[in-house]
Amino acid sequence: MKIERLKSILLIILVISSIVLTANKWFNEELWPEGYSFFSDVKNRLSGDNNKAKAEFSPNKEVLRPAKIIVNNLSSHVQYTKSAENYDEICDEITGVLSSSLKSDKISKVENEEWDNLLKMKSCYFSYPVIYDASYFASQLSGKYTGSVKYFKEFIITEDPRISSLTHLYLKDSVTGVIEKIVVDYDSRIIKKYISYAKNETNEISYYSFELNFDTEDKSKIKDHAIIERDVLINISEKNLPKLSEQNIFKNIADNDSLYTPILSYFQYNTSGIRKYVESDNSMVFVENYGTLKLHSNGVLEYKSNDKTKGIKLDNSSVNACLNSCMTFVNGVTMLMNKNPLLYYEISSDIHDIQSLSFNMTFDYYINDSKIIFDEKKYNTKNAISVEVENGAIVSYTQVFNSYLPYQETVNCGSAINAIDNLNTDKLTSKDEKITDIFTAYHYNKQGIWTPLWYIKDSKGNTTAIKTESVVPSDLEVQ
Amino acid sequence: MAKLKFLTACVLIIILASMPLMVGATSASSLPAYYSGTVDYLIDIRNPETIVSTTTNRNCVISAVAVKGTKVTLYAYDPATGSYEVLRNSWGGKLESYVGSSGLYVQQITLKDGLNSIMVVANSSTVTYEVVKLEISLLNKGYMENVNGNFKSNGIGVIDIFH
Repeated sequence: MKIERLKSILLIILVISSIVLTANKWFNEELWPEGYSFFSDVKNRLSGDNNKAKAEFSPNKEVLRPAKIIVNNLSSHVQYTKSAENYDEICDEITGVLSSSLKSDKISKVENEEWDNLLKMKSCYFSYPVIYDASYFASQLSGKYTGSVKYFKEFIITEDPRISSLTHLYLKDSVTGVIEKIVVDYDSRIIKKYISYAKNETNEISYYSFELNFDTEDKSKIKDHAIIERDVLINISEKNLPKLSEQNIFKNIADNDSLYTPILSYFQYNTSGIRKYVESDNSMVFVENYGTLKLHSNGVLEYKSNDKTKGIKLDNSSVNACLNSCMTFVNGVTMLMNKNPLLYYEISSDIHDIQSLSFNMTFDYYINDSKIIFDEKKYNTKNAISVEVENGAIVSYTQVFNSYLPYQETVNCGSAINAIDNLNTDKLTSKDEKITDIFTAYHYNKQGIWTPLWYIKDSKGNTTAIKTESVVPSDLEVQ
Repeated sequence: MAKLKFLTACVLIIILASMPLMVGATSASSLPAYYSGTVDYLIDIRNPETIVSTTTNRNCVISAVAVKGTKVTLYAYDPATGSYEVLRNSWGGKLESYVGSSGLYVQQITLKDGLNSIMVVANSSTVTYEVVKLEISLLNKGYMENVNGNFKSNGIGVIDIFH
């Protein structure tokens, strides 16, 4: 009797272990050829692992994140971008100010002078990479905007001079130039906190053009000089940036199924029986019934739907939902990159005029707060990411998948004034041409090496690269 | 003998005539308080906007537009010597630079408490130079608090106004 009981226990253990081992084999992706497993896929769908990137990424939150924050303390201006240490903390707090502003009815219009004065006092200036429709922006905060500003790109917050529990929000209409002041019921001590952060990080000296009076020639006895748009922040200290080396992870893509399998899965390709071939330049092409996914040997991912009605479906319940769904998709693909943590991307195409489910979106990469400018001849794309959406589905998608790491050399780019000195003299003295922006960006210099340069944008929309580089030892401290 | 005297006189004249050249080439470290320019078309100071100004900020930016190729040097008045001494950066170098083709000039200086007499010298050649003298007063924190205290009884202080 005792032996019979022992046999039963042993049998139960054997049955359980066989079930566990079988399940382990079924649900483990690595045990399957081509990295695809039906059971694993089901498990991922149930647990949400496959959508981890989607779950963590919130397009609503992303829209609210400005491209740059400038903390102004009298004549000191400290700029924060997405790579800055305190950026996320400031953003979270600002979301609170913006949400509260939607509940306020204390709205009034103010003059341009007040906006300029705010930039010279204790205030925080926020700027987005593109113009937003105010109602779309408010919808990301789950609120409704009742003011008169229709499109905006920038706003300022400052404290109430008398009541510390009130914050003033100034919103500038990008089209009409109208400035609206909203008194918000929010503790303004946050501004003092940001100013205290900024005091510890000022190793660059910058001034707005209007502070230096470089925005006009009216009052000058000297006529032949450059004119800079009044709200351009001019860095007057020398800027040192590292060169970057490019790592092309698609170079030997045909031998690296662990790299391309997640990409295929994300683009909804069935990885088990897919048709694929390698082109003469080592680019790998995957073909499905309605589209092709090409991993170019220069590091560019390209998806194209053969049939405009059969792309990758997005949420098409509304235009805003479709935009958000597109941004989520882009973020999901970017999460598959083996990218430098300092690299981030920003939307670069205006979305305020999108009214239907068919639109284009572009995004650019930034590293060391400098944009990476792609040579269209080399990469066949000007932007890091380009998406074409047709009737709520992605029909074309291009993304540069290369990784960028600091190279052993640092470049002294000089100051912004040095850069303007190197601009074509005709541009400087032409009365109808103003400098509308000046920034550093990475430019492809020689095989695999990217060099930082100053770029100047003028009022005619032309952007010119300025070569003022001189190599300095790599042990120089770089921000 | 007369020939020797004539030659000596010629050499002295040449040396005296070339003195401004040497000054122009290197920028003097010290210039007398009465130093003034020979022209008024080389530089146009944009900030501070007036010759006499007051600020509460120790870091002051001097901006200007100037004729391309002009050398701009900054001096500060030293009451101890009674003359203007050239301003230097943290590495000991003179605050002097050439204006490029943009025609723009910017230099940040650190003010001392009270009155700062700054002289901007713009040279285009040895005999062509313009001098602009600025009077910038830095109101220190103690002074501001003192004034603020006097006005506070009226409901709002000077610091609040500046804020």
